Amino acid sequence: MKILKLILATIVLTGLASCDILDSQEPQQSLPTDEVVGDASGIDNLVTGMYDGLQDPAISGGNFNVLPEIMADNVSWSGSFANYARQASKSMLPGDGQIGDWWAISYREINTANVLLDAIGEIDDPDFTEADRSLTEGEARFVRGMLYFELARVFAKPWGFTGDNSHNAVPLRVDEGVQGVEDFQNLERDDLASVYAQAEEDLQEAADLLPDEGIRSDNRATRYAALGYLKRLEMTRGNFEEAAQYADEIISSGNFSLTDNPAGPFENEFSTESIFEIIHTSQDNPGVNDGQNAFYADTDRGGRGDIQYSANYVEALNSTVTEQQQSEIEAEGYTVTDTRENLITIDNEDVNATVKFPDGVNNADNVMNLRYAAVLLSRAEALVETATDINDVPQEAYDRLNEVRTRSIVVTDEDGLPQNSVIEFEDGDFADRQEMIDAILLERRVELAFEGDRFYTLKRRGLEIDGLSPDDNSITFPIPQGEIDANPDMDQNDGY
Amino acid sequence: MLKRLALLLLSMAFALSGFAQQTVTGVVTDAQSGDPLAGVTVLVQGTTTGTSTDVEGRYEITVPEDRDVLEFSFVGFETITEEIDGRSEINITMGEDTQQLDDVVVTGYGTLSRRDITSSIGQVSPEDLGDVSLNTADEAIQGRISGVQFTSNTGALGSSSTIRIRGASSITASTSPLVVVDGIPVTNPTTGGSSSVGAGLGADTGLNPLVNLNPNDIESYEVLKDAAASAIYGSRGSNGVILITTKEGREGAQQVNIRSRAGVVQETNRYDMMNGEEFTQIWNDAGINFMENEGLGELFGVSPEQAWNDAGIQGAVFGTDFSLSEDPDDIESADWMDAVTQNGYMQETSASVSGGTERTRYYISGNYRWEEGYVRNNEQNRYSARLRVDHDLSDRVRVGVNLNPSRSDNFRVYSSNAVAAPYTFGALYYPNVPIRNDDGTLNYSVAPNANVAFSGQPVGNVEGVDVESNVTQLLGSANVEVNLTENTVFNSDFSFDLFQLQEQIRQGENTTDGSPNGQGVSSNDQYRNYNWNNTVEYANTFGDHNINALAGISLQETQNTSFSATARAFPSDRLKNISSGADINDATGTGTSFSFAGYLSRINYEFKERYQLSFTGRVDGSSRFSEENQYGFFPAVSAGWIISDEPFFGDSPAFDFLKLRASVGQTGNAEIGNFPTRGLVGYGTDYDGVPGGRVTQLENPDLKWEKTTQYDAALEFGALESRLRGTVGYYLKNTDDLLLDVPISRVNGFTSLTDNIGAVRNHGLEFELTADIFQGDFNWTSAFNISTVNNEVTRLVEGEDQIFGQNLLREGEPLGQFYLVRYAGVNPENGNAQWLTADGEVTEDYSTNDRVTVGSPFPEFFGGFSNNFAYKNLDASVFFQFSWGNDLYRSDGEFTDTNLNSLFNQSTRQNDYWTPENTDAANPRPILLTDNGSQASTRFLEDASYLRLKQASIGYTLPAELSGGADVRFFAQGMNLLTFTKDEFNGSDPEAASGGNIQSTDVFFQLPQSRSVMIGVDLTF
Repeated sequence: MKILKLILATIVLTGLASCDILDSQEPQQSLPTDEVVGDASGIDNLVTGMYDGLQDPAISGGNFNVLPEIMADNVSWSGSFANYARQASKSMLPGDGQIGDWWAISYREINTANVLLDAIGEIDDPDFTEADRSLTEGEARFVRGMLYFELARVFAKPWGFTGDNSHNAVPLRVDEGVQGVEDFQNLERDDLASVYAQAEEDLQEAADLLPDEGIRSDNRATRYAALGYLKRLEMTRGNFEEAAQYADEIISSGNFSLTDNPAGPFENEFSTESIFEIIHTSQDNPGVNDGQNAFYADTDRGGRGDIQYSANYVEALNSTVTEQQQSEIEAEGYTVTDTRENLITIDNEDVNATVKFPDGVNNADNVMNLRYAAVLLSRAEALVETATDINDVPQEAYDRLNEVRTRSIVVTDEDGLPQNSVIEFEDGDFADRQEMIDAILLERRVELAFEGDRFYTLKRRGLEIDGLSPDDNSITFPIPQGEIDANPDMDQNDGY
Repeated sequence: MLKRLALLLLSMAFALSGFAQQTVTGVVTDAQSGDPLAGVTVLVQGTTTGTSTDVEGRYEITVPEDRDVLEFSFVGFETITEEIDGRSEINITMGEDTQQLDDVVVTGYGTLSRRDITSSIGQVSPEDLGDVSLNTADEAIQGRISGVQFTSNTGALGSSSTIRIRGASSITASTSPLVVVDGIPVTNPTTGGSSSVGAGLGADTGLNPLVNLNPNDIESYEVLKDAAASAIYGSRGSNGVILITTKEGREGAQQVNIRSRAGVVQETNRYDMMNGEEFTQIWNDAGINFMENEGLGELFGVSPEQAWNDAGIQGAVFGTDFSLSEDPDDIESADWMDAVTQNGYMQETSASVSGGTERTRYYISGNYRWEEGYVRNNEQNRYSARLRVDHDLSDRVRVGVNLNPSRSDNFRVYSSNAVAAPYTFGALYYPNVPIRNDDGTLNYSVAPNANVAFSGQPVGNVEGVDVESNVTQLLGSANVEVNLTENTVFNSDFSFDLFQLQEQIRQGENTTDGSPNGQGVSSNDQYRNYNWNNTVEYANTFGDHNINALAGISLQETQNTSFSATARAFPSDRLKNISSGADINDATGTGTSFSFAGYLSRINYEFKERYQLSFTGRVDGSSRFSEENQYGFFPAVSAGWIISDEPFFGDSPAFDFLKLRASVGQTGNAEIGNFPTRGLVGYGTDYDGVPGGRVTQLENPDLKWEKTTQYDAALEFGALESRLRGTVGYYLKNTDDLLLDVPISRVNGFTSLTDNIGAVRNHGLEFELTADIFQGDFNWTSAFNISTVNNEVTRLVEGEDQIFGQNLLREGEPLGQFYLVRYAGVNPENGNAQWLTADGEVTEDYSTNDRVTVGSPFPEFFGGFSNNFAYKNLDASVFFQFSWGNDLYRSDGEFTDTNLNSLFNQSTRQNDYWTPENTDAANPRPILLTDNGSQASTRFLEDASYLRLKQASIGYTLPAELSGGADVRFFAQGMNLLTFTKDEFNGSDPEAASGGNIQSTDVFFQLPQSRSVMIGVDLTF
């Protein structure tokens, strides 16, 4: 019977162990959501996670620059990815991955913002101060406003396509964050007016709540990042009065200045010109097939070299000095160089790449999202637009434009002394406002090349993109097939 | 828990019966030779009391007084039951088994003789396989058992396989059966539909978890197909269960077996790609068409052809000159496919010693196998040893240990979905570029082409990339078995599986992934899997009633930890370790775990040895589910009726065995990750060195097991003195609460959600027939099996379609039904690709709105056909495998048959493209960087029906007078010698699969299976 007792003991032991082994397994890299959102440091972690989300190559970590750029005329696409080639040739398909990701990752981070906005209303943790609350709300509002703007400006027809902008944009989800299955909804698309209004409200709140500093010690969004996006939004909506004001607020804050040479913002992270910059370190590697650097950096620099600057761009770069200025320079015996030519490869005749983002190995170049030069040019443009005629254009408009020009275009006399005034514009140089606008847009094109600006400038100005009107169906992104397949209430854009 | 304990105690209470005894002795001899038979199992019928014969065939057994029947069984011999009838000495002669109906079949926590089985269990023993040298042990079941579809995902060495038993009954969770080696559920990390470990080097190219198991150690494979058989594995039984049992020693003289072989290995198929001249031709034509298409000739006021050949216009359009010189002197040509492949070699030697004394039995073996694959730099070395010892402490207590240390060193290749994989890259790289420079160094320039698609070149990726995966595994178990009474046995078995995969990936500075300064990845994956089974088995006979009852508890806990780090910027390719890299990053360290606790019981009841009834039940708990759904109950019942034993059946001239069996039962599937019900914030999303988290998983507490209800009926027969044996069966499997990754509106912040939605049904017929066509001097045995599978999704979320790439989930359609735009050939007028609209109109406008259901992801039927011949000392075998009516979507067609919408080399099929002179061409007009027919469509959907000569062998056994008593056999053997497919099939291998459940029929440059021929010798003394 001794052996029986032993066996009985074994059986009892197994029974006890069985309860224990079921209850003792816990996730090791994750924490329960309900605990994280109820805890001050948890909320802080989610905010950090949201910035990590902005690093995603599908959105502000890469494609917010890459996709509009390859659709416009500064670059040509020569890579092997057929979906990017379709983007470049404006024959996008709803199933193209980069379009689905732009949509999905943007909404992922909008959801993070919504979860945070819910959490700060409910949290009961003495460590979570009022200051934490307003900063967190500012961060969440900034990200949500920014992403709704970035979604609407590619998935909707241009502002003004319908008189009251009642044409379809993207669904607005602002009420509650999705944490569990019961929070799911299928939403219809909201109109463009509503989406931009929501973006404006979020960004204005963010501007009030985010720190009034030129640069934060943790390099995150400031009041000026929000103002910069508001400026962009108003330029897009053609509200030049407001755009001029937002630009002015950024300029007159005194927090920013142009770097000495045009490579400055790309050679030094968080230069004086940086208003909002997405950090990339070698730890954030988006991989060899994704992101800004992989596509722009040529193969010698570890990238794919899929994006090459176009002959058309070189032409623009060579025409920043007007014929009149050129003859003056020649008459005086001066020499002139637009130093922005140093930002494209001249060291390798086989490769036509930009060197704004040269690290194709670790992809550790930051992504420049908003910089001061763009604000100066927007200010100039908005001032011209709000003037009644060319004589009404204030001197400041010329000054802002010249500030950008003289930083890059270097004129020297025989003694090597600078003679920059030759290429400065002044009252009387332009016959009408349109001429001045054209000069500003050319400057804008050259200055902001490879930064994802050109496409949006053409689109908001109603200018042709590769011979197509911005209203053309093929200019607007298709709603991703995955969304159409999953959500029966989702309308596809015309032409897809 | 108390309730469950009570259940166990109850079953032990049966044990209170008397102990009066008698002793019987005797000798067992072989009826044919008259030699004594060692190792014959002698059992008191209706009890678990048994012994086995010694070297001289002698046995001695103590029989309780109320028992009167002894049972003598031995593998390959007919089981004999003998009434004792008061005798104290009983000598037995045993004849070789021709019926095979009394083979012992492993059933999971026990064994049964084949005639007593009332469920559907397929069996493969190594003898059935002949002399196959298996790359991985699971290949043995391929084509041998009806209802089992086995696919090696790729031809890469050690690659994972996709096994489906009776169709596919899951969408999200695994469709792989549970694999149990000697009672241990093996480490089974599942990706998509197949089990694999290690870095996926492209889709589904992880290592097979059985990579280290030595097939020569295996005694038998059993496949539990229906619910009655697999319900004993409860929540993990619904995809079927594969039981692998290793060899054990038998009492008797020591037996030594040495087997050695060597051979050559090649690929079964190779893509035929354009040479330099052909590529130059289509490239320039495509370029001219591009100029025309984009109106660029017009723009510059020249013809498209002039525009293409004008360096200035080229510069303005592309920024560089894309055109290629057509001067034959300028055109180089390289065969890259040939450059990345080679003649592979393999050799294998295994040795074993087994034997035993009256009280101790042992089996010791060692194995070394080396294979160099047909893709350069693909190599596998396996070393394994096994020690199994069983010892009788007393008449009532037995102990045993089984230890299996093993190691494999694998040099793996990127095999499919990475475009830079040598085989894929070899197919796609510019053919008009020399492989090497004049000085013998590799040529990395793409000249005369203007554009680099990827850095590196195919041979550079072969020579510059090492993927070394070392698997160190220790499988072990210790068990004790106690005869509590003459009727009751207690068994406690503790086993563990320690599995470590260490991987070093190093990509040199000139390779696609390593450019420009080299890259290295070091990773370490460890699985610790503990298993503790305690069972009590009771067997008794009361007159005409035989009862066998089993109850037990089975516990399993599996822990996994992994670490990985990447380094870039190496000073030299000669430095292999990541610490030499300047930039070490992407470091991850993770851990996870899961556990199962199962309470199982089974009762087999037999009346008059011809009416059989079996009940099985398991209560299974798992850490994977929330508290509300933590336990599930999985019952099954089955019945059998041996009609041929009925008095009314008499001595039928035709049938000598006829049995009807049927079963119904429920099983589950819990392979859905470890914590799927919890709302989780995942960490590791840092920003600028500050740690961060993100909501990575939605709370979903209602998630529960998938449940499969399966019905099974079959007729087993033996005819013409059992020279014809077979089974005809039908099964129906309804799976409900299907776990599904439901795509959801992304506006919610997530792209999909796992939920219990939907149902799927599989049903089909299975037919197996074995015939001893000739017996005597010339022996010919033929075995044939064929199965059908009808798969249908019977319910989905609110009836909505779900689309996964080219595959669809739709009510009423099979799982993963193809959903594609129909390609309608070339418009002879203008060379444009044509499509059919959903309504069947021909159009040149491609739109995904025109997708329709087309083709079939499941075969109409599949099976195998084997023939074994013997004539005197000569033997031979051939084994065919076939599948009919299933389609594959060849995604690689979107790269190789694109009319140059990309920079990739094209298949030679593309030489027949449309030009104004060649208007009835097979392929559309090529237009550079422009889609014209390359979009996803039925153009790349191909019927993958095949018949394959999977294996053939011949052997010669030395006559005894020459071999000096030893058994010496020489053999030659070939694998995958011939493959027949339909003409329309352009893929590399009709057996390819990509492993995912729904998209497994969507393949991309899968390495074809290898063809091998080897010779060897088998020595036993």
